[in-house]
Amino acid sequence: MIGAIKKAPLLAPLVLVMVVLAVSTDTFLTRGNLENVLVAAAILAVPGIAMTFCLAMGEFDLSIGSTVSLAGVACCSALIAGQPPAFSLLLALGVGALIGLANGVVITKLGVTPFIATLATMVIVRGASLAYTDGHDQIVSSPGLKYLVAGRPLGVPMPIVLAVVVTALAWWTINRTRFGRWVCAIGSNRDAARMSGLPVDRIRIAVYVLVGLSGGLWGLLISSQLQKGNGQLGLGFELDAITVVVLGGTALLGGRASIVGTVLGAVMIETIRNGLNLLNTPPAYQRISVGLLLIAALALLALRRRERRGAPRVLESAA
Amino acid sequence: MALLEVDGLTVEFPGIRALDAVCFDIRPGEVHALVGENGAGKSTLLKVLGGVHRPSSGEVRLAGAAYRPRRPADALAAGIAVIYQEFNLYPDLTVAENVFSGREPCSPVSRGIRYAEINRRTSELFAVLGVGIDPAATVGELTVSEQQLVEICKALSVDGRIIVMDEPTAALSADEVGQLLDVVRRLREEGRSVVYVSHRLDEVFALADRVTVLRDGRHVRTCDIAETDPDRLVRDMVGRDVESVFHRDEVRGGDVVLELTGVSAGRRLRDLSLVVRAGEVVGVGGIAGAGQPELSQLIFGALAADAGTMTLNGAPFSPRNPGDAMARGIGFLHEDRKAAGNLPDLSIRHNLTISVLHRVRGAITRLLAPARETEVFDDYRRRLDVKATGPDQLIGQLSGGNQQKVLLGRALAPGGRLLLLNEPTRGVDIGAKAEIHRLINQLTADGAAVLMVSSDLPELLGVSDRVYVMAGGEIVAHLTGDDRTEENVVACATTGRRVFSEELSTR
Repeated sequence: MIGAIKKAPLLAPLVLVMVVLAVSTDTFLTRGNLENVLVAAAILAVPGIAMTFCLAMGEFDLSIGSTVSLAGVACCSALIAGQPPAFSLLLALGVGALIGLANGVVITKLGVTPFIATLATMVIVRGASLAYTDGHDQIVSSPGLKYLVAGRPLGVPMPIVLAVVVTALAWWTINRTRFGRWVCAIGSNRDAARMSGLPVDRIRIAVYVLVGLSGGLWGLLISSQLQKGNGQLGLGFELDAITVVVLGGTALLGGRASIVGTVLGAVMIETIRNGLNLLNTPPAYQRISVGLLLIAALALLALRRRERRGAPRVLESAA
Repeated sequence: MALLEVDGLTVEFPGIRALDAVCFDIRPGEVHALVGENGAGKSTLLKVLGGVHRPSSGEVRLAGAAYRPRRPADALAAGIAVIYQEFNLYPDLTVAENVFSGREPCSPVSRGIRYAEINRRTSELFAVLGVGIDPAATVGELTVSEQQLVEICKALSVDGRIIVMDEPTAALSADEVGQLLDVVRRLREEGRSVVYVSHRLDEVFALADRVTVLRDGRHVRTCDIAETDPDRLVRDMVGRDVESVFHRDEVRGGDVVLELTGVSAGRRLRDLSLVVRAGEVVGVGGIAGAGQPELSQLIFGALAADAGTMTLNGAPFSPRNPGDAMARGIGFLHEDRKAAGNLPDLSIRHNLTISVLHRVRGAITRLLAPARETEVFDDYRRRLDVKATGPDQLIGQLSGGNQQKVLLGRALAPGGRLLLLNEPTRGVDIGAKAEIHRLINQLTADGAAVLMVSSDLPELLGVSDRVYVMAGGEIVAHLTGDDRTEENVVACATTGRRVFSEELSTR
């Protein structure tokens, strides 16, 4: 039990928040509401997991929110143009992967730091999305797209199925594959990784492609929920994706990854959002709460690190 | 009499007692050497003096009054300047800005720094040390030894009564060491006390007035340097007799493994030709910055050759990256464990296997098999005698010597017939040093070829069968047999002398 808490330090505060909500609202514990929370968390967990790889590698990607928009727009435009749903979905994923590839190449081959490179991609992609749609909604009505969010294979909502599969794959990748080990090694000490013969640049590009791909999937899920695509989708989503990773305990400077932590982080954020909704808090406050959570999580990480380093106990010697 | 008294000093960290009731004293105007293996508690003691750690019990007295620094600034204010192994310098600022950092004299009106004044005062301090460094130079462009002098200059600028130096010569070449020793002697003449921490006993005997030995956090003894000798000191440090540190079995060079012909690379390396044979240890010496690490990086594919040819086992060899070189069976040890060796967030098992993960994967699943990984690790742990609590310990928790053994294991893991070892025993204690040398002997006896870059002259000459000396990116000497002398290495590296001995024929 104590071991479990140490491995997933988010578990205790999450339970606390849930208990508080269960007591202070009538509706939190209803089946429908809990399912809403879990579906929202599942949608956030998928890109969060990809971002976990990125942060474990010691880098991050700010462009994912814009990718959501362009991928959603690409899918909806293709559907409106009469393309089959399968093609439209793949197109959106391809757009995401391409954006990731561009990030990866600019960062590794041109040597631009990830912060600046993905910041630039963020505005470029957002601009492209707005330019293409000319600021208008692209409304679709596609059962195929709808299935991504509303489908219930075996009675389980589709996003939850997706999230479970992605979580399992990611856990295996981080803990049991060479690629996962390489990602952590690069995050731990990139020069040492290079001197150990690792194909560092290829791995970094692969991770950015992974994040881009997850951004494409995220765009599909959001478009599926709203049945539309536009240039405003995914505004500020990059913060959400990074926040769940950090909440989950993955080191911001890389070297370690906690997939389960990220999933719990997503549940935490969506629980708090849901709770604030139920308590009739205006949306603006939800943004403030996410920001505060991020700071709290980082402060907690820093405190724990200081503790681990272990400053010696001070015993006041008799003067 | 004593300027600084350490009395019953105990420092506890969670789980370990780094210092256990240590007592000794430092007199005014003496050079006091502090020796001990890695993990003996020297660094902790330094950090207590420097105000980084606080003692759990016991006391330090400075000129009779209790000395309890709460932060590094308190130590400086009390006149105790600690120069850590990793310098605290701003590479982008000038020398003078670094020396007066935090205490810059300002114009009362404009609040601008008085550059003329800090440059003049810095020059004066360097004059005291007998060195000429431009106060307006950017610190990042100085050599390591010059940066060391900037740190010493900083200590002088606060009028440090006690200057503590942690392994000041670890990264210096032979002639730079000589210069540093002169500087320390000048500090003593000035009436300052110097606490000198070093693994190099020749420096200790050349310099110190008294010596204190620590072992496992305990004080072993303090005595005048005249009352002891190197053998006795080594016994005190390790608590047992150590076999002769440099013992090289007679070897017989085999086939040519690596051959460079007229290779030039980057901005430094020019027209390098050399040969490494199976079963040989070939040393590469020279002053720091002469291109020795670059040579090894070139062979490892981390630096591209611009001209010339390389062959490996007779076949053309032009690695494009370290992965290529490793695929051809070359192992590499970087000279800087911290910067380009350790993966601090990974366990020692994962640190060791990182470059051979393809060998610990399941045949069908392609997933890493922890059991096989542990097998590989256990194998190397036995061969290298790594002292660790278990395979999942983080590498940063090991002593320097054991970290180095793990990294050596990583270099060996590709199964190489050619090993490129940069400073294989830098910052490693005497016991581990002997073990690493024994391992090199054993590897070459099994037919491996070793190219070893070392700035530790006794090691370079004692372990290598042949020695190349580099200066300014060129090979300026090739020493075999009786030509392998310290004098030859130093003279070729620093003067115009050139020695190219015949390779001992009849191989």
